[in-house]
Amino acid sequence: MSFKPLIVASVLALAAALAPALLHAHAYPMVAVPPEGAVLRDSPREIRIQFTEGIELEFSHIDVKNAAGEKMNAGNLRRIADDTVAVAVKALAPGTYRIEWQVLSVDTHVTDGVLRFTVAGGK
Amino acid sequence: MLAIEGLVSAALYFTAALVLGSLATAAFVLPPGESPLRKQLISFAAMFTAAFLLIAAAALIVQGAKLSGGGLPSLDVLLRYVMKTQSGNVWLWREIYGALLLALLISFQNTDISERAGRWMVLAAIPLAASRSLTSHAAAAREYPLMAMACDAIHLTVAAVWAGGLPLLCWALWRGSRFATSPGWTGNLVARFSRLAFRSVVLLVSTGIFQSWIQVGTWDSLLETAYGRVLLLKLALFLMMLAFGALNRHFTLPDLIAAPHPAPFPRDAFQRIGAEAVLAIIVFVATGFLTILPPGAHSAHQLAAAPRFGVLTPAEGAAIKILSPRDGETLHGDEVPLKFRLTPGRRGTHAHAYVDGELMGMFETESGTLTGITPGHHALELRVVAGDHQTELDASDTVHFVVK
Repeated sequence: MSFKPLIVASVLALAAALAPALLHAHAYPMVAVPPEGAVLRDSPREIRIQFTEGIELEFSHIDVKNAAGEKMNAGNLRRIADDTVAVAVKALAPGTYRIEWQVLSVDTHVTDGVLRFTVAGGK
Repeated sequence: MLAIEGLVSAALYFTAALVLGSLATAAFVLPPGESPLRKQLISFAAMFTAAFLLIAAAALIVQGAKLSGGGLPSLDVLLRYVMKTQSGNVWLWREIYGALLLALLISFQNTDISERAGRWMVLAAIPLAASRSLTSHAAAAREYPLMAMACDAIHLTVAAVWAGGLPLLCWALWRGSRFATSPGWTGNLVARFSRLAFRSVVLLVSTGIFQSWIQVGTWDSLLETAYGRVLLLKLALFLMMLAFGALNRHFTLPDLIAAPHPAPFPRDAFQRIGAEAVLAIIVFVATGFLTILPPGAHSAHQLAAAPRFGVLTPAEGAAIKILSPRDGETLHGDEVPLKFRLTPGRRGTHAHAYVDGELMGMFETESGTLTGITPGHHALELRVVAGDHQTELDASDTVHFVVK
C-alpha cells in the first residue's frame, strides 16, 4: 500500500492554508492615544501606543510627522510597560499628522504601520 | 521574506528535533548492548547539532534582514540585535550552548557509553529545542506568560522526542535488521519506541490544548484567522500521525514480534513507519510557519481593546446636532466635511462618529473630516462621549447622505 497520495495531499493542504496566510502581517497597535483618525482640539503632549505583544525598545521607533514630512518628536521613545511605548512631541500647529511606527516584538517579529490624527486648534 | 523566515524556522525546529530524536533513540529505544548503533546515533546527533548551529546562523541573517527592511544586514545591525535585545541574547546563549553540546557529542561519539550516560545526554540536549520558547509566541502571551513558556518548552521537547525520533527509528530498523541476531529484534525496537511515543503524545496533547487556548482564545479565532487555520491543519496532520502510530502499534508491532528470524524488514511496515515520519516533517513545517503568523488571540485582544460602545448611559444634559452634512445631502469624493454643535452637559467631552454603524472617528472639536467614505447611501450618527473615551451618552444625532 502506498501512502504517497496522503503525503502529497497533506503538503498541498499545508500550502493552501499558508498561501493566503503569508499575505498577512502581524496586526499590532491595540490602543493608540490619540486614536486613529482622531481630531484633537489641542496638540497632544505625547503619542502613546499599546501593542498586542511585548516590545523591544532597540529597533523600535515612533515618528510623528507633519504634512511636510518634518519629524515632530521631542524626545526618544520610552517604555511605559512591556507592551506600551510613548514618545513626546513638540507643540503641534493645527494640521494633519502621521504617526509612523515600527516595532520589534519579543517574539522577534518586526512590524510597522501608520496612524493619523488631526489637530484642529480651537473651536 | 515571510516564506524564507517560515522555512528557516521549520528547519531549526526539525534539526533540534533530530538532535533530541537521535539521542532519545540511542538512550531509550535501542536495547542494551547495541553499541555500534548507539555510537552511530551519537554521531548523527553531533552532525544535527552542527546543522542546527548553521541554520540558527542563517536565522540570525534573516532576522537582521527583517530589521534592515529586507536587505542584507550590516554587522552593526546584527551586533545590536544580539547584544541589546532579549531575543538576540537568547540566540547568542543558545549558540554558545549548542557549540558546547557539539563538543560533548563529538568527544563521546566513539565511546561505548552506558544507557544512563545516554539519558544524561538527552537531558543536556533539551535546552536546544526548549529554548525556542523564550522567543516564541508563548514569550509574548498576554495571559499566564510563564506557564505558557513552560508548556511550550515541554511541548517542543516531547514533539522532538517523538517526531524527531521517527526518522532515526526508521534508520535503526533498516540498519539493525540486517545484523540482528535475536528473534523479534525489530519488534522489540518498535515496542520500545512505541512506549516512548505514547508518553510523548499524552504530554503533547495536554500542553497543546493549553497552548491553543492561550494563542487562539476563541472558536472564531480558530476558524477565521490564518493562525487558527494553520493550527487546524497541524491538528489534522497530528491526528493522521496518531492514526499511523496506532496502526503501527496494533498491527505492525505484532507482525514484527511474530516474524521468524532471520527475516528482512517488511516493506509494508517500513512504509507505514516512514509515512508517520514524513507526516512529522510536514507538522514541523506547519509549526515553523505558525511561529511567524500572528496568534489568533491577538485579533480577539484588538477587538476586546476597542471600547465597548453600544450601551448608552443617561445624557445628563448632553446633546449634539449635526450641521454638516445636511440630511439628504449629496457629496462628491471620499471625504465628508463634518460640522456639529455639541452641548457637553455634565459628562460629555467629545463625539464619536459612526458611518453605517462603524466607528469612523473621534472629534474633540466641532468640525473635522471623515475620510475613506465609499460611494453610495450612508447613515452618519454622532454620539456624545464622556472623558474616559469609553462611556457613550444617550445623546446622538443622525443624518443620511449620499456620496457619488
